[in-house]
Amino acid sequence: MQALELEIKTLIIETLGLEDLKPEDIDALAPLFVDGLGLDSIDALDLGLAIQRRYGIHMSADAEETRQHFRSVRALAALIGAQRAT
Amino acid sequence: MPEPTPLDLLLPALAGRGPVAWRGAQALDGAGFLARVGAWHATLAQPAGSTIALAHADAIEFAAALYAAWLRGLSVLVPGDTLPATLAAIAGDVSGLVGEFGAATTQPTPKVEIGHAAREPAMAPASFDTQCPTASGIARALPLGLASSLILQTSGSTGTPLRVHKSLRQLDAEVRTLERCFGAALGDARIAATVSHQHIYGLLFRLLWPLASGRPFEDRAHAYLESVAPLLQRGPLALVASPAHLKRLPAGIDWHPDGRTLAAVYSSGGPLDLAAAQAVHAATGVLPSEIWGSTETGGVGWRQQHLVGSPFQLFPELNVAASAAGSLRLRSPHLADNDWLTLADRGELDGIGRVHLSGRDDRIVKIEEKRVSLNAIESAARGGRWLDAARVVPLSGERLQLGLVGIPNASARELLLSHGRRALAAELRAELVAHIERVALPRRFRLVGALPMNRQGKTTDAALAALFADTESRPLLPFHDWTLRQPPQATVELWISPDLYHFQGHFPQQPILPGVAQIDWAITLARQAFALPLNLKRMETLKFQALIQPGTRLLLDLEWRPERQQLEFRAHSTAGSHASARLVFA
Repeated sequence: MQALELEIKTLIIETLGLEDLKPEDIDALAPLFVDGLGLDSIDALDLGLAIQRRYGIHMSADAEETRQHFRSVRALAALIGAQRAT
Repeated sequence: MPEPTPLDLLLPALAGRGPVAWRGAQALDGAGFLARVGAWHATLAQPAGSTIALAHADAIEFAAALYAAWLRGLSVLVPGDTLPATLAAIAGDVSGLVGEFGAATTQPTPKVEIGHAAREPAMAPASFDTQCPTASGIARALPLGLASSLILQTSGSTGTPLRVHKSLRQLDAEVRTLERCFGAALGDARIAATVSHQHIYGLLFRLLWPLASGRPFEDRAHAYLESVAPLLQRGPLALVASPAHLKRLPAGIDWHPDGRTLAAVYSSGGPLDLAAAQAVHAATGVLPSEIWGSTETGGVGWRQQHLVGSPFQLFPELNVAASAAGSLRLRSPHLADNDWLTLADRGELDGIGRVHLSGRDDRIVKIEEKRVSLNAIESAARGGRWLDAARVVPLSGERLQLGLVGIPNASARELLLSHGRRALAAELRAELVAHIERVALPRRFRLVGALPMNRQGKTTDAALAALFADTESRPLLPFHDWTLRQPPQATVELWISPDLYHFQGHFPQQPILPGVAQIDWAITLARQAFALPLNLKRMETLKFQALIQPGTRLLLDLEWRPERQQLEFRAHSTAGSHASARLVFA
């Protein structure tokens, strides 16, 4: 799980071109958007696309479910981990 | 479709109407909508003639509150966002904030009151019956005055927010234009949107036009297109989107469930490139209709992009004139009067009255369809706690980003030494987020001792952008400031921050600046001060006398002896001498 979280953190930094940030600077439990890492709605789209390309996972048609998955690095890792297991 | 109902006569026409809007899977019929108008009407206590600010994430509630305010004879100011700086700027001009204003609703302004229509079924029926009109009463209390007005606030070119008044007559003209140009293709499609109704495009396309033309709209904007496509299974559907979503079209969505197809895709807010338009066409079977317009102008024209640079067709009954220099003027029924308005867009007319657009005149850029004034960002950055000067430059890339180049003041330099670049960047962002929407915040920062200037003494965008051109995402030189630059001598001061790249892993327990970094900096900086030859031949008398640790203000003395092709450098601080060497070039 930790390896996957590190992979997701690296994906976030690379996809969004975040300056000055290293994977270890990202708290796996911190909110990705606004209050925590401070990502915006366009970042959400770009990250959604990157996750789709890398892991073949689609955003849910249920907006609330998607919001939950994008809560934090850990929540994303749980989503991707679960898809891999099936 | 029949003619759209005039906006001033809309409420009576809604009384017997079926679905007006959808809350998720739940339909709201005309009577239900009128009940919401009634609920808002009951909460609005401001005297007729005054102005309220209205914001609500729910388009149904927004529309109901808007009509309720008009019924009360109020003017409605619609801010494009609810940032603290925006609210502070409007607080003195409105007699109340109505709707959802997030945490900012607790603004300590005595004039501000929060109006909140009670949600069904919490709405108190007794007060509804006695103090405000019933739904049928609401429907009879009309027509509205055509002068009823809406004020849209956007970022202006000078950085001062721009307010644009729209009368009900103007909005009505827009709706009639849209129905005339696009109505036939839409049928009775449900309107799904990815854009906010707090801006002119969303307000017209996903709210007023659907209301007037009897097409159901939705309470919420979609964050992802994945949740739009499945709605096709419920019936005819059209999409009101922006380039931000269309150019990020996810693969693998079924846009043809049960053989259905979107009735239309609209795009506005910024340019949609040909590749994105074609990709949408390939995936959905619909070529997007791109709308050209702005808050000031309203709708001006539209196009479907078959070829790169396809021209825009003007909407009926309006005129555009182009000057030889490429500036454009507009006369339009969507404007308040019949005068010519000079546009911020530049372009030229072709022989049959179509317009080829070629850019903009002012310092407004669009970041993912958010209009943002570079002047406004710069003045917000200068007005904060950290910078003596600030310039903002658009940086092209996969996503258009803003780069901020700033001269840190004394406290910022202290912060750099103690906590590093990232901490200062976070402070700068935190200051700016009160003024600028998050999507448009500068994402990259460069700190300089002086702004780059050309021989005419001008700081050009190209010179600023060059500061961001390094391939590494983080700058390899620490923040530095020249104290002397007079060949053959120069002195530069460097702020050795704890988060410098060079301390990474060197060493985890005790960070020490590698000697190779010092030599690299000496050469790189000497090249800025003197005309050094390309190749370093050898190093002589290289000495590292004392370790350099984070938090050091390092002075680098440089001396170039062209006759011997030698560069002398000495690094020192209040702690004494750290390193020195003679570098021989060839």
